[in-house]
Amino acid sequence: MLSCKHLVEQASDYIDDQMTMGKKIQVKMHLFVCVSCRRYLKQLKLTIAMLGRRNQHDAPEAMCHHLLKEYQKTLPKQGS
Amino acid sequence: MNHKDRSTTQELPEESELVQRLIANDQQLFMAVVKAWHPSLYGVAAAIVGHSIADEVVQEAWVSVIKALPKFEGRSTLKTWVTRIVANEAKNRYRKESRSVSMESVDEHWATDSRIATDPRFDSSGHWNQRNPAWDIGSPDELLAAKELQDCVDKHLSRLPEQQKYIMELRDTAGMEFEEICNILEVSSSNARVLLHRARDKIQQVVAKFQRTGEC
Ligand SMILES: [Zn+2]
Repeated sequence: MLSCKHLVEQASDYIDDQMTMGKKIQVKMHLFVCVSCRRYLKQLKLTIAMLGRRNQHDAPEAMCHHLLKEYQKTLPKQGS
Repeated sequence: MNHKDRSTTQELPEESELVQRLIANDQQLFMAVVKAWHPSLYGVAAAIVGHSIADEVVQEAWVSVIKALPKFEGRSTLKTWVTRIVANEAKNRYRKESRSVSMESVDEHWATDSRIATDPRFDSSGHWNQRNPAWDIGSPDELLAAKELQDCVDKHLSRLPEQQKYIMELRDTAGMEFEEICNILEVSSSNARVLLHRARDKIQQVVAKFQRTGEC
């Protein structure tokens, strides 16, 4: 059977669906019987979700102004 | 229309209407798109050229996008197309400024890193040494709200090897596909996956330790 260490090493491939069907079944079987790995997988997903929302960086106002001008200049209203 | 909210992506019209309206000078929509997509475009740029000139790179890329928009053929989604232009712009900059990071060294790092072989979380037969405890915190928002924890994550993110950080930013912050990431960073997809997992696993351990001990 797949060891916990191996499961942990392959957890991202499992989450990102980068795994063969056979491997996926092995992982699922392991998860069925192993609470520590179930928790790990849940925690890794949570970590990824957290990372995805960090450093959300808003578009600077100056950039928006500049781009709007550029947009008006380059793609003028049709018919005008 | 108010587009102050960050999560405006779902308010944008569907693809073909989006493209048509942008070509037809819908200024409000254009601004909404620039704002809604900025976090992920910024993530792509920052992963390649660093944070100091990432905004500049995104801006330059948008100028190219505006010019090329009437010729957009719709072979990918508009967002993928814009993301690719941002990545190309960033790569050009990256070459110009000839930063010393070599993506070639990935293989070497992988081969010489024995951390996984001696991972203290597992015994010699690969079982957890101790039962992995559940976390008190159950949502990403709760994790993000914990200021000290986020400072701790910041500290550890800054210590990650650059390749790991880039790949994680491209994948987890910017949401790019692996194929795209490998093209941009010129790494094999198996290396990219290993490096991505290393980075995520490291941060998981940082959060886990913080949950367990309250210490960074
Ligand atoms: Zn297990």
